[in-house]
Amino acid sequence: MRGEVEIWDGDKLLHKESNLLVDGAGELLADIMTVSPSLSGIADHATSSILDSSNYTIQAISFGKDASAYTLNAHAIPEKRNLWYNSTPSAEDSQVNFAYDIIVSPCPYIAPPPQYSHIPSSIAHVLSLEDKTDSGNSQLAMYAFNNSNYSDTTVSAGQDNWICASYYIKFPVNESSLVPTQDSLTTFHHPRSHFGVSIQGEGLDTSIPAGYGKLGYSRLGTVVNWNDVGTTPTADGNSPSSISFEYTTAAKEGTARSEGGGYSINNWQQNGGAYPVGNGWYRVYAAGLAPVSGVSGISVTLYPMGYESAPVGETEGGIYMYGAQLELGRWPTDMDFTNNRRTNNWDFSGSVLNRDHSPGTVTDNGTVRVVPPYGTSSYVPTNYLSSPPNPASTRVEEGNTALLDVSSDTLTNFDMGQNLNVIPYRKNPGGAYGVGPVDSSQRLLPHNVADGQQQIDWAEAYSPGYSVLRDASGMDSFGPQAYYLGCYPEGSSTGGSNWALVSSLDNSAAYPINYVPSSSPYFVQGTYNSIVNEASSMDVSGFVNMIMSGSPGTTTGYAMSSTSSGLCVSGGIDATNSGTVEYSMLLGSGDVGYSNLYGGIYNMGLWTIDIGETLRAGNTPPYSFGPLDNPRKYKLFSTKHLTKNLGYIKDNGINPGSLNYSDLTIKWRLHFL
Amino acid sequence: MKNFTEELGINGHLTISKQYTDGQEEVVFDDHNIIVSGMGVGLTYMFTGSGSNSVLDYQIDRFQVGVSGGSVNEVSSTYQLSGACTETEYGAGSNLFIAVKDQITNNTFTSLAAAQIPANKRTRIGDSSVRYTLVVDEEACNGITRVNPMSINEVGLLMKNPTGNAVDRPLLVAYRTFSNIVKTSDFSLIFRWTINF
Repeated sequence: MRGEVEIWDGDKLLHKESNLLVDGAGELLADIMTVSPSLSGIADHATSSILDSSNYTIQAISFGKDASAYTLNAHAIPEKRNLWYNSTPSAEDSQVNFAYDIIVSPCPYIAPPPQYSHIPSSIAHVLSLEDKTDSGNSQLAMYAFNNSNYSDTTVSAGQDNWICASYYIKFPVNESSLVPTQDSLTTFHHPRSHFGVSIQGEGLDTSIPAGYGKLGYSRLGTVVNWNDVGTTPTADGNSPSSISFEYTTAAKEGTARSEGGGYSINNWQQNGGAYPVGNGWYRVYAAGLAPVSGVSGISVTLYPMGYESAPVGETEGGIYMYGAQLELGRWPTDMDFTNNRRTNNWDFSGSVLNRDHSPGTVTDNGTVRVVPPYGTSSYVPTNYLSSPPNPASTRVEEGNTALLDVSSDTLTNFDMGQNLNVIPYRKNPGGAYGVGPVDSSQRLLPHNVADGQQQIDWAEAYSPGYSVLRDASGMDSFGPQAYYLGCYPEGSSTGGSNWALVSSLDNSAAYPINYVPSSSPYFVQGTYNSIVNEASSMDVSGFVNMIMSGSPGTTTGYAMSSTSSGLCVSGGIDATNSGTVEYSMLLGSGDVGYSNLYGGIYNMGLWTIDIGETLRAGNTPPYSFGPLDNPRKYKLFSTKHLTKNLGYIKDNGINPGSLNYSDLTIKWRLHFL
Repeated sequence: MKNFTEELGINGHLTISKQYTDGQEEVVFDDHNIIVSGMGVGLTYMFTGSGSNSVLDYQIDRFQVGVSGGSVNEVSSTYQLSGACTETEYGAGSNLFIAVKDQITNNTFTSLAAAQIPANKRTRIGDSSVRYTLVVDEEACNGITRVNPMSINEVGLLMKNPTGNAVDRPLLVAYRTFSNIVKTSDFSLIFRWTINF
């Protein structure tokens, strides 16, 4: 088959080059020729549907770029995620305080969480936190931002960002004296571990009791209630029975954040939870929004053992702890171990993927920021060579396109060789408390799940079992988005996606408190709207669905349907046809511009459905396309590698190039004769 | 300019053997074949969604042999055998299942007979290779005498029904001529035809 790709900007032809048919094309035809006719005799609709010819034709198009670009441009994040000076707080200093009678002891002989079993004890090791008396509220406190010897940050660096603190903990310490004793007081006698997070900013009103959040002060906490140790324990005492949040009325003293002159939020929409990671270890975390006034100090206090109720208060006990992490965002990410590492403003300069979800304004879907070449208002992405065209290719880019840290298991499944769509996701911890598939390593969230009530609504809608957990951010609950992945903006009906060209990402001035276009430090900013997301024609993995217009076989002059609806097909309808099949789609200006911020578009591919893989994945036909939950597995049919970025643009006089994108029409013709 | 079949790499190879009743096998032909334009036409119907809705209709499920082959026909524009055997010529005592259908021939239809290729004779031998084993048994195609005794010298593969017509309308997709073979009841002819997609 001779194939060619044309790229049109209006009536101007930008590119016209031959494509490359890959082995998948031949495999598809062999599939067609050897499908068992016996399937037609099976009454089951799903089985006979395998024979539908549409399952064996071009069904999607996707776009990509060189592999290196997936860790650069707007994909890039600081490698240093952990803001603690030491991730193993084994000794007291001005950043670590052992309060009351807590005993902190290194326990390198205790196995860490399984995924870190290969980490040498010199890098990180388990600590035991023992509270051997009933007097005093023993605690391990850690501090950040408050000492220039340990960090090189300014108060504005962390302002208005979500900040997440996390630990790995395991209960109990295996010494009989440290196990809360059973008694006759109650049958529900839960020991608990608790850690609180206080984020302080400028303007802190010290006259208000510290127990409440207030202007310049965010206070939050996560409590892990272990199973009861009463006279009739009902479950293994080493497992959590529930998670609860503390300080949820922390806005008691006024509408704290709005008083700060910035955004307002309805409540302390803190996030937190605990999820099992194996061998009795749980990762517990708490995340909250930093004050708009800046961050002058963060303290995280871990209370290893107390009683939840009857009696309330102190008891002896102990837990093991591993891997303290303090980072930007609403969810803990993979561990970044630190040993005497100072943080600086750069570490705080960009939230995950250089994009922050502005608090309190649901319609703001986040602003992606990049630095253009000096003196220009057009972003030029950093790219290296794409993998060479190869007939054996099974994806549009052969190199590893995993985002962020390629060694991260969290992100392995996102190495798909192409641009992903804009999808908020978080890692799915699975386990007994999971409300999704236990074996799924990632959980995709719908767009704009932005606050506590939304996450409740969404979780309840998709998981009836969730209602028993209820808490907005309880154990393994959903929460606001963890990360954004992908290179395409939101559709116009959901507000599009904001972007800005800034002077430096290493400067908190690039992240203004009150975004006012006329006075912002941005060179240029705007909102890109997606065509593919407006039409819901692209799935989360970046496949644009092929659409048909009516009945091609019966429509006189069969022509393209609207190319803004997805990938369209057109061709002859009789035996003397030209032998040409034309696929066409409209790549909107917003899609082109936004993709350019993430590295541009250099590659594209036409895909068929991989029937075998789709069936093996447990999906039976008919395969209805869905942008969030697409049951189809695809097989590459042909590719096109371009030598020029489709998103390339330059300034035109006083007109910023980044504001001048236009829709591109892609025409991909296959000549069968 | 390369055409579809060349660039995609669709090609075929044909081996013809005589198999005698004592089990001996004699290879009488071993060469490439010709993928004709019908392959492209059929696939166009499929990829545009303008043909049959069933993938089975795009399968190669029948073949023809003929008696008037010549090198002039070994071109991609060939759409039918030069002298395809009639239903009678295939032989009443043969195991072949013969069906006479309106074959698509250059934008018209010609009623022609073709022999079915059982599904178990269509074997995938690689990721993108399919082998068709066509058996013209001892009782088939013997004593063809249209004017004079005639030899078999051409063969073709047909796609079942790409237009999705209610009654099958086959389409020639591959073709090859070969040296004259006077078929007798002493042997079967085995055509091993491999198509690499």
